[in-house]
Amino acid sequence: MNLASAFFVLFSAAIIFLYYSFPRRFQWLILTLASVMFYATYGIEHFLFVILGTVIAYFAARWIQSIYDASEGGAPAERKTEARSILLWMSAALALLLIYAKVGAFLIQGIANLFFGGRTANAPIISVLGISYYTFSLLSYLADVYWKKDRAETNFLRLLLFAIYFPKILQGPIARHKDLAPQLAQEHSFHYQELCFGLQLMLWGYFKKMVIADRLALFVNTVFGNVTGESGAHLLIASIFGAFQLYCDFSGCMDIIGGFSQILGLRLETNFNHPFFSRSAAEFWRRWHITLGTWFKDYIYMPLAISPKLIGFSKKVRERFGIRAGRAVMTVIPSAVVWILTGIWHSVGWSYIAWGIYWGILIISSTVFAPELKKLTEALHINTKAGSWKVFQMVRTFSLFVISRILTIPGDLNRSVQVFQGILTRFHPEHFFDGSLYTLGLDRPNFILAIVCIFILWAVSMLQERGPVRERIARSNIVFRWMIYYTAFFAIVIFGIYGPGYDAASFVYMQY
Amino acid sequence: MKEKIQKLLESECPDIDFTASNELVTDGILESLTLTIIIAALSMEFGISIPYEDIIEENFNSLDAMAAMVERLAN
Amino acid sequence: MKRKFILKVLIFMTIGSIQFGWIQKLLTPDWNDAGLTNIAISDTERTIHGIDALAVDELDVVFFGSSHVYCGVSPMELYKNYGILSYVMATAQQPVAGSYFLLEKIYETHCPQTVVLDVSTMFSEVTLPYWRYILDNLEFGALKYRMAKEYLRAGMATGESDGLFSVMFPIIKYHSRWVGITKDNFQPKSRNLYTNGQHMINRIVSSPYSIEDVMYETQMLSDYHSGMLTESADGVFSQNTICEALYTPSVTEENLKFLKEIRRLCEEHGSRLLLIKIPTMQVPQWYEPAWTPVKSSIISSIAADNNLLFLDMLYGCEPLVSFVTDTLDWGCHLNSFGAKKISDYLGGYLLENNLAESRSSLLYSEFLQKYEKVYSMMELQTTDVFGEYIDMLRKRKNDSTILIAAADDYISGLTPEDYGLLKELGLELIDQGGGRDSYVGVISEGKTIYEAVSDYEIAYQAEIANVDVEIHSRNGWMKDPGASVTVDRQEYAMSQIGLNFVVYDHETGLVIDSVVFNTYDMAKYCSRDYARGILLLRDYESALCFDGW
Repeated sequence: MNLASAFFVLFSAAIIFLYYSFPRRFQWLILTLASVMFYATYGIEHFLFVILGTVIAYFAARWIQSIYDASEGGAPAERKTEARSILLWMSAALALLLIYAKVGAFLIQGIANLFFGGRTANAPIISVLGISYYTFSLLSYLADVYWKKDRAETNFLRLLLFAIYFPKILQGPIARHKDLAPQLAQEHSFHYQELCFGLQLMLWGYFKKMVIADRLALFVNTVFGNVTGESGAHLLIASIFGAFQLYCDFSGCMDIIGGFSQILGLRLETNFNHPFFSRSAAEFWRRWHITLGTWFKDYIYMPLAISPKLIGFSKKVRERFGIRAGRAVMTVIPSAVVWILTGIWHSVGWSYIAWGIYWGILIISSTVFAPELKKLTEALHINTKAGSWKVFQMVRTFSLFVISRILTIPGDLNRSVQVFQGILTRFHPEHFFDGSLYTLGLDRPNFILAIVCIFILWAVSMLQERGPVRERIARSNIVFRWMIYYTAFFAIVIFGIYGPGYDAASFVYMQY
Repeated sequence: MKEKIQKLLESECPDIDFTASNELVTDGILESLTLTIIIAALSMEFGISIPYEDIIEENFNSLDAMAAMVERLAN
Repeated sequence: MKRKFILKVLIFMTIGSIQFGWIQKLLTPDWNDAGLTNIAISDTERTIHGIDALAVDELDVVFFGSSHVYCGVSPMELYKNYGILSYVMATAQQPVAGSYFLLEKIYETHCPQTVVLDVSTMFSEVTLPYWRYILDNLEFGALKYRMAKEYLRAGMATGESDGLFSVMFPIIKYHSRWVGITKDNFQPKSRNLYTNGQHMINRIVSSPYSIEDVMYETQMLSDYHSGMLTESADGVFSQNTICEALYTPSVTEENLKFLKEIRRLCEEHGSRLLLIKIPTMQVPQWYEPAWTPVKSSIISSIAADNNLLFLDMLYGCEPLVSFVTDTLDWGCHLNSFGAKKISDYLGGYLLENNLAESRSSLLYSEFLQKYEKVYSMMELQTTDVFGEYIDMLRKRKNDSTILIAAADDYISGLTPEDYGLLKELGLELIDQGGGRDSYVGVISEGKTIYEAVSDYEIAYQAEIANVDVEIHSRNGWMKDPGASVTVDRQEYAMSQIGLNFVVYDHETGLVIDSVVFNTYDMAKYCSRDYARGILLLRDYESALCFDGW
């Protein structure tokens, strides 16, 4: 069910109504049923995967928990090893589930091709709904139980609800059991303010998604549909639009489901924190797709970085090549692993592997070469406290992101290279001024509207950086508040890209 | 013990003032990258292996906390 | 607290709904004909809502059908000669289902004595746009819902996202029209009520066919299809040999069903139902709705089966109109001159068959006055014989200003008879000129207020009836011979050789005709800018109907 559809709006309204009409102890059950129904609209086969994953996680966690509970005050070594192997084997099972879902079809097709010859043009990727998100959630749950940061869930249905809670199924955030499960278990009473705030957030999300992202998509898709023919100027604008499009699409979706969850009294983890105000690649990944970054940090990076093997290895390197080299090893190896995995998590294909390597190199170099960079800024007499330097850093970081978008929008690394070629070799700056920008999927009024909306986005983001906007709205008088609601709502109704005559622009992160 | 740790960490991370607060991690003075360096240093220096479940704020928020943890693990 | 909350929500939703309705109305096209020669779109919004101007007892006869009806039936003529109070509720290619639902709508507010349906669309499966013209102009409610269901059932929806929702809330389909919003969209709508649904059109484009031609072609098609001919006798229909409907027209089941529904509805309300066919003079190969004897007999038998009267005004009458002067597009549709003749006949028929009564109405009389003015303007605009034109000018010189400017040469083609007419008009100096002279004449309120002949350029400037006028006449001796007549700083003269006339009306201050007669030549051909003429016609209509326009 498309989030930007009337059906979803009605569905959510119905859920909210039922949620607060029934006795509170049934709230989690209502959500479970709703999530199952949500899955049903996509097809029952999607549901089988999540059941399987939840079953694995459920039994593994309970097993580990029982080991810990049985041996209070310190587990004997072999029991600990037992717990450890359960963790490893079951995690592997879950990971295998994920891998199968993502590449199974590929592999099977590839093998079939080997045997039967012939090639199929593009193996369709089975997208199992939400599998990348809930397997990671379940893996984190299992690991947290193992590391005693969480207790195993004793009620299978509650664990299932945690896995399939439908708002987070499409594009995340990757929920942590220890944060979400207690909220799901609580009883929530209706708060008028939560309703207002939630609705406002949803409105903002719909605005970003339907007015900005889907509009930019028309331009981006047109230009990227003709990569070898378009001028560099057009390709550049399309890439920049592509950056905003992805942000608005993804964060818009996050706001919609976040607002909806807030109405139910649930707080989902933030996934975005105005990433385009970042001043470095590292900061960017602390502000963009936050839950993915923190998941990789907590469950891959840190365990690797402090694993005795790595520490031992870095000690050897330090003895041989010096402190810096030793320290570098401790960053480079886990980072490289994390970034390659992050790339693969998005999609199995050379585009995303290149993407992962790209970001990995950027982040690793900024840490490893930090002293050199510092010397460089001093040599150039750059005042790092100046406002203009900060702006420069933001523009620089944004440009790095645009480059990463060029790697991934075409879906095929060759085409990405052609895009770079186009930008560098046939730029044609006159194309900025000759009106050709209005012929690439967006006519003049729509193009200008897109630019205006990007400014609105910037303005609101600036406000949000300074303090919560919704509270500010709440403090103002009722006429002003209602004007904002009406304006936002009608802006979406009038300027949204929907209805007969537009192609339904589906959410970008949904096939993960 | 505490002074030993302090000296070690100050030589590894000269930019950070480990006495600045009692909530070094919570306040953001120590973040994940620095933590890994500290953990590596402590592991190598004291010959201990710090299990992942001990990577929590409480154990790294102050030099005292770190000292307590190291002592516990060394036994 | 809870009550306060519910109250807040209700007020919020109410204000929101009102705004929603208003914005939706703004963005939904009203399907009024902005392209003035395009009869395909029809003034749907005006037609559907124009009936609201009539009180309950001011409507006796209502006409349904397609463009044939709104071109070919004149309620004002029906009122003028017979006192019949009627309304033309016809829209472009109106599907029979559309006629049914519109009839339901009319019965909510009026009780017509007679319902007249033109049977053109009985033979077609009308496509999507023509349904939308009606649907988008219906108010949100049960009627719209039922017609929307029928629309979907008839397979009209264009895709997944075009469904019941997007018909009931047209903003879903039309919100992208925000791009084209201009201040025109905020103009109040529903102008031109005076015609009660008729389209005033004065274009004349003759039909190349006669009724014998039509019957011959129909027979050829039938013979071809039944295998009697192996190749076309004159090559005409060899191009359209595939479409079955061409050979064997048939009334679709849907249409028949809705005809019966219309009949039922009429019976329930005590109205009588009359089927008619406005004549066309076209052949089926070129014009699908061309009326043929085959179609006529099909309808006759349906009418007989359902106990209905059927008046076929092509095959069932003596010729009522001339397809040389009374058609606007090669015989497909009638123009307003043809509509007058049809209505003259139809009125008599309705009264004879007790389908209508003679009544009088103040409102209709008001409308009629405007109609006559517009009709006479149309007559002026379509007169292309010099003598007749001068005569018409003479008749209307008391409430118009006539501006005449010669260009190049205007003398050689004028006969003594012409001079006589021109002098009767008031142009004393018209015969004083020689070859290649300039001439300017100005007649206002019946009097000639200026006249000049010269072998140089004549320039004239004045304010007449609150309108700035400037005239130039340059004869053939000058470097660039021509004529210029500007009214309110806009140029109107045709500026071709001969006498250039520009006429404007005192009541509205608008130019109502601009024509040139080549009086240099004996034939005295006339020349007009027809596209502009239609603009002038529409402006005049608006000025009549709209105060402060």
